[in-house]
Parts: sequence; structure tokens; C-alpha cells
Amino acid sequence: MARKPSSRDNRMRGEDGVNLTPMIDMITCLMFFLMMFASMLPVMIIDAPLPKIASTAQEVKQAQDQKNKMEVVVNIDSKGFQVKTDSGNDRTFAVSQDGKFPYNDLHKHLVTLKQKKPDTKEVTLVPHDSTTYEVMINVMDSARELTKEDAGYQTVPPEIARKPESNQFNRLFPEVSIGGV
Amino acid sequence: MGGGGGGGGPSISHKHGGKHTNRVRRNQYVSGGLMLASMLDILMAILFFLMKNYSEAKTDFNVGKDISLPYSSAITPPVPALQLVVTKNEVMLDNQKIADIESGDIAKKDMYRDGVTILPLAQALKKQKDRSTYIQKHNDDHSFTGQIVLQADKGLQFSVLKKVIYTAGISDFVMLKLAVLNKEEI
Repeated sequence: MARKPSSRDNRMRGEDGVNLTPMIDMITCLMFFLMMFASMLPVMIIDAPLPKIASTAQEVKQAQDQKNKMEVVVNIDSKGFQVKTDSGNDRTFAVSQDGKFPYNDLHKHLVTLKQKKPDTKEVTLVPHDSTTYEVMINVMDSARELTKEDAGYQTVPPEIARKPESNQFNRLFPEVSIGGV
Repeated sequence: MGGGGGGGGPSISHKHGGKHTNRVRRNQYVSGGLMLASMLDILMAILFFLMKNYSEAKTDFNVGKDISLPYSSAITPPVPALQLVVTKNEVMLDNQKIADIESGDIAKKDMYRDGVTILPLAQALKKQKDRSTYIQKHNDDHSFTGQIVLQADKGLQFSVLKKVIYTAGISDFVMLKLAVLNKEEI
């Protein structure tokens, strides 16, 4: 129906929608807060329980039952690594001329040892007094899990990749303890 | 959430150029502001992503000052536990300074006569253990687990760390957890 000329209005009105500016302010503040605290998250932990002396009868029996396991000790000093096992298969890995520790060679040797006694999970590190904490952590990394290049490496399902649930895959010597204390 | 708002003014005919047309043109409202709706969409998406990541973090973990943690491929998230921080200058327990490190070793004044026990640290850990066992007696949900998180500078030598670890061990904090930075996320 046509309007009367007096009620015609050619002006276009501004939008009557919700004012979004305060909401954007609020979201920006929240994002700033979350991003600031999210930056703290890359910290992870390595379990390194101190060696325990078997005190109860059950613990002694458990220790005796470990026939299928091998005792692996990695001595660390400024010259390199020395891997000792109770089967007497000792190996030494010297630091390269440019002062780099042979983590890859150590890892390959540990993979070979694991294949001989797959039930073995423990490794003991015995660092020299001059060994830095960084070197100790790198040795733990070399001993903890298989890498893609190793035989027997299993592909981790993508939904649990980089999550603690993936710890069940590709274990080498996951239980690391620090000796020489 | 809806898409962006409409932009651009209405088309204006220049066919008729009278007084009436000029008045209409003057009165027409042209939206000149930003299109905030689409920006809001983006911000909301980022916000949900950040909140999801934040909720997955089981605990707040503050890295101590003046400390450079080593990098590792470990992927186990931190757990709430007593924080033992060893920098190049001092030993701290739950943000309280316990002992000094001088010339790359624990200060002699802080050492027990056996040469490996850090006396103030042993005393502080005993207090923590006593407090925890007291709570355990009165609260079934709480138990002393002996967990302790060690944050140590990557440049520290084992000669210092073994004294710290030994003192923690004799104080019944044997479930040692080493704090590291994740290689993949840096």
C-alpha cells in the first residue's frame, strides 16, 4: 500500500545490531591472558626415581625373577661414554674431535642391546662429577625410545602422537635412574 | 556465528540532478565503520583453540628465574609436586632460598660434615615431609608420595646435582622428576 507523502522517509537508518566492540575488547584481553600463560607449557618431566635397595621379601623375589633382563650401566665423563652390561659386552664411545658427544652411536648400541634382552627396561647413568646436566638429559633421551631409523620402530597413531599415551610405543630403556649419588 | 555485515553504500543515480536528489543523497547513511563481525569470528576461533590447549594443561608450572632448563624429547606433562630449583647461584625449595652456590659448588657453610648432605635443604625437606605426613593422618585423600620436581640449570655439573639428589634421597623424596623443555614445541 502506498504511503502518504508526509510519511515517506528516504533516510537509510544505521544498523540496529549488537555493539560488538566491548565483546572484542573482552576477547582480546582473554586471548592475551591465555597466550601469556600458554607460553609456560612446553615444560615436561622425566621420571628418574632414585635407586632403591630391595628391603621386603617380595622385592627380593622380584629382583631374582629378572633373569630375562640385563643390567645396563652408562658411565659418562668428559672423554665420552662407556656402556657396561652384566653380560660383559662393554663398549666405549669417545667424544669427537670437535668436542661433540656421540649420542647417535650410543643410541644404536643401546638398540642392539635391547634386541638381545627385550624385557630390559632399566638403564643406570653414572655421570662423572664434571658431567653437565645437559649431557645427562641428552643421554637419557638417547636411551629412552626408538627413533624412526631404528629396526622395530612402530608408527604412533596420529591421534595420540606427542601425547603421554604414546609412551607405550617404541620403548627402549624408559626407566632411567641416576647412579653414583 | 554469522558472517560479515554488509558493506558499501547504495547506488545513487545521477540521472536526475535536482534539489530533491541532492537532499536525498545528503541524507543517505553510508556505513563507514569496520566490519567487526568477521573479526569477531576469527578472534572466537583463536580463543576456543587457546582455551582448549589451556584446559589440557594439568598444572601451572613456573620455571625458576635465572635458570636455563635443558631440552628433551620427553612428553610427560608436569605434575603438582614440591619444586626444587637449582640455579648457578643458589638452591631454592618452593621459591625459598635454601643454600648458596659459590664457585660452581655448594657453599661450605651449607654443607654437613659428611661432604654430601646440604644441611639447610635436608632440614627444609624434613619439614615438608612432616607437614605432609601430618596432613595424611587427618585427611585420607592426601598421602606422602615422595615426589619432587628438580629444575636444574643445564650448565650445572653433576658434582653439585649429586649433593642435591642425595639430600633429597635421604629425606625420603625418592620419586625424582626432572624438569626439561620440550624440543618439539620450542
